[in-house]
Amino acid sequence: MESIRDGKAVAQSESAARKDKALDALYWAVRVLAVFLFVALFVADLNPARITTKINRSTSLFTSCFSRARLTMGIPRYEFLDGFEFVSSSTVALLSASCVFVAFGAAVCLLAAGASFGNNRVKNLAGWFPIGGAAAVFLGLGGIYLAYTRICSPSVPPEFLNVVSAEYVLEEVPPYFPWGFWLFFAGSALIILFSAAARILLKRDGAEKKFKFGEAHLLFLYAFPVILLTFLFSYLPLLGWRYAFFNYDVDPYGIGGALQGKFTFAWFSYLFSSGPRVSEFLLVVRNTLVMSALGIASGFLPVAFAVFFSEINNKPLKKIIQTVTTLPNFISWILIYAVALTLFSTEGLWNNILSRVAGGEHNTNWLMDGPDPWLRMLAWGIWKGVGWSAIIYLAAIAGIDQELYEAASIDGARRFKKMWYITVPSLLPTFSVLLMLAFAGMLSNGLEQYLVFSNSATIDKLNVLDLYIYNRGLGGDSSSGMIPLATVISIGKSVISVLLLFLANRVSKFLRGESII
Amino acid sequence: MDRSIKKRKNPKNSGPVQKQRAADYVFHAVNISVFLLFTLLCFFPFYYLFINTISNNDLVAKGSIVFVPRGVHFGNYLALGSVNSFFYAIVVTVSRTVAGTLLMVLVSSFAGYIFTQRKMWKRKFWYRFVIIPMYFSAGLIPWYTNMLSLGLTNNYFAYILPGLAVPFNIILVKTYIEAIPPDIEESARIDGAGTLTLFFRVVGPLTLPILATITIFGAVGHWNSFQDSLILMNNPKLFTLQHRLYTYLQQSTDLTAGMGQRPGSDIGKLNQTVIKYTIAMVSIIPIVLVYPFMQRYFIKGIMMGAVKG
Repeated sequence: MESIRDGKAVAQSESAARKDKALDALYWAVRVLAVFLFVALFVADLNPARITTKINRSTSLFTSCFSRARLTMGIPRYEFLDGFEFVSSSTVALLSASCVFVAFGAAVCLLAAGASFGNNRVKNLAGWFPIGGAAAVFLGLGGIYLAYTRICSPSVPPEFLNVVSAEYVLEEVPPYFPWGFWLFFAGSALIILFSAAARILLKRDGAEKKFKFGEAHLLFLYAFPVILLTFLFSYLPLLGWRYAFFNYDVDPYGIGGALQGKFTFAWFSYLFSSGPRVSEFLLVVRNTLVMSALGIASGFLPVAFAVFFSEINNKPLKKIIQTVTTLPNFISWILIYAVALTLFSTEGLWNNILSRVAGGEHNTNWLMDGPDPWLRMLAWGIWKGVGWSAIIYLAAIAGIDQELYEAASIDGARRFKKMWYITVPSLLPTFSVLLMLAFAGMLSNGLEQYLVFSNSATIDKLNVLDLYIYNRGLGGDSSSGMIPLATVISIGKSVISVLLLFLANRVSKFLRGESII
Repeated sequence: MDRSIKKRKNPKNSGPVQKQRAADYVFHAVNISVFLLFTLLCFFPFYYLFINTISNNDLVAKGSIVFVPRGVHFGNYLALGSVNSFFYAIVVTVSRTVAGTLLMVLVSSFAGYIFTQRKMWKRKFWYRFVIIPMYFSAGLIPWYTNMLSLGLTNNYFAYILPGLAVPFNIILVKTYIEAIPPDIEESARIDGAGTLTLFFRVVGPLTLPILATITIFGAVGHWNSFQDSLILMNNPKLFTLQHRLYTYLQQSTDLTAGMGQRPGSDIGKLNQTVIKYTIAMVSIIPIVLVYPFMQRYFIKGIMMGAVKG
């Protein structure tokens, strides 16, 4: 009797365990699908709403939701056809409303997927949500399909019939059935299937009275918004690397260009395809490396600043010096440039002083015809940053054991000996870390300084990679559609920078047994 | 230097000690003068800019203002009201500084706290996921095309959203919280506090020093922001102050176009260059005013960063 009851209990608990396992698998499937659908909202190549090839290939479903301008920017508008719409505005309205449904549904699915981490009570309630969300996606897809059929069989209003034929419209706005459509279709169908199965499997009489989440997963849900933000703004840009492999058409309406044509490596070879281009690029690389080398070579200055600064005994004086010398670090380069104008432009203070002291007229624009631009940039950089960079060394000095100095004094060491044999060596670890980081950041000089300080007289020496990429992709040259070229250089820069960082880390590990990242 | 030690070394002959003292004086004199010179070099340009904006504009144009302001007036500052789009730039910059910084502190510190919770599902993986962008970025153009496809060009939210989860600040807060004795958190948990209550009532208040640090860094970053405005915005009404100033410095034309027609306007006495300097001064003043009081938080920030850096 006893054993039979035991056997029953075991069988029951076994089947319960199996059921739990199945439920878990179903929920995981829904979660993965929901995340997948949600991410697909932001990926332009998966946009199910690209129902004609004239819709911008760089427009994601998310963009299609709220920007009708971006959705329709590629669709032709001809003046001689006075007001004729190749895609009627009702079709566009239908399309963008459908996009909203799809996006809303995907977001609901994601929320529900998060809720499926809760206890049975939560699951009971939230179990309906993915079904509802996926249904909204279906509804939206239906709308998109309807818009697609309308584009397939365009109707021309009678007043235009003598100038426009349906065939002509089809030729100008060729329909296209995006494979992203099937992706969303399959994804939401699976979500409905799995959610419904989970809904049936789940016991309705959950013992819990309160809505509750397991702690591990609740903590994850708290962190999820940050993970999502990081994904959107730091990982998603990697998709932009595809711009390097296509041609790019600049959009005449100023909303954003579009990828054109087929996959190509042409832009990689473009850079090296002609003599002037190669020499221009080499010039840019030279400037970048020179500026970085100068920066690294002057890396001892903050150390010297800190060593000598710590020899000052007067506390109030120290405080004043530190406050004033660290301040320029927080003034932006634009403002520094404004300051430079007051001092070194044609009517600036420097010419004024020269005229007074040396006599005669001094009208040099020192921002154009001053000493070597590299050295000037370095000087500005040091002026702006040395006080601030010294702080980290000052902290290291504060941590030095005072007994070392006392012992050295007893041994008869004078001030400079103590500075050289005690203070400086104790700063070397910090120095080497910063040196390695500077080495890793060799290709990034920053855009701002060079953008504001470069002019026609200095551009040959101040055109560094960051400035070159900006000018090629977005600045003065942007109208020439050089986005792919700028992307190629961006990619090269990112990849090499990461390799340099790993290299620096290796070196640091080898030399000091410590990693810098 | 410890004098008693030296005395012990030379108990009878005071000559070398005096020599050493003399050398000390020379060293200090030279050392301090060099530092004071550099301090002056850091201070004077801003001072010079300032006295040029408040001195008589005719004297400024003649170049006779060098060390002291003369004919002090604030007409240039008052004239800013009629500079094209200056008002928008102020509103955009101030609002993004306030809203962007507060939200950043909330989001980043909360994330930093959550990542201290060992029970979190796949904590290590997600923490790394959030931190890696600090070392690797896709590049300027991919970043731009991404913002484009997210609809964040010519959109005010482009100033706020990308800056909410800052990896470096998350690390700072996480490290700081990990240094707090865990007993405090545990006893509060025993008293029945949930994760949110713990963060807002118990752990949050204990992290105020580090929150002050990230606030101040965030605020300076927003105030000085230029690149995002330059790259993402076409609409001049959305330009930040720095971007506005940059366009002013680039153009040589009249900033206050249309001002001359206004009756009673003393446009003749206003000097376009000085107006530009005045705008620069307006951007510098808040930092100069706030910085000395917040300096220790800045310094704490760089120290904490160095520990983890």
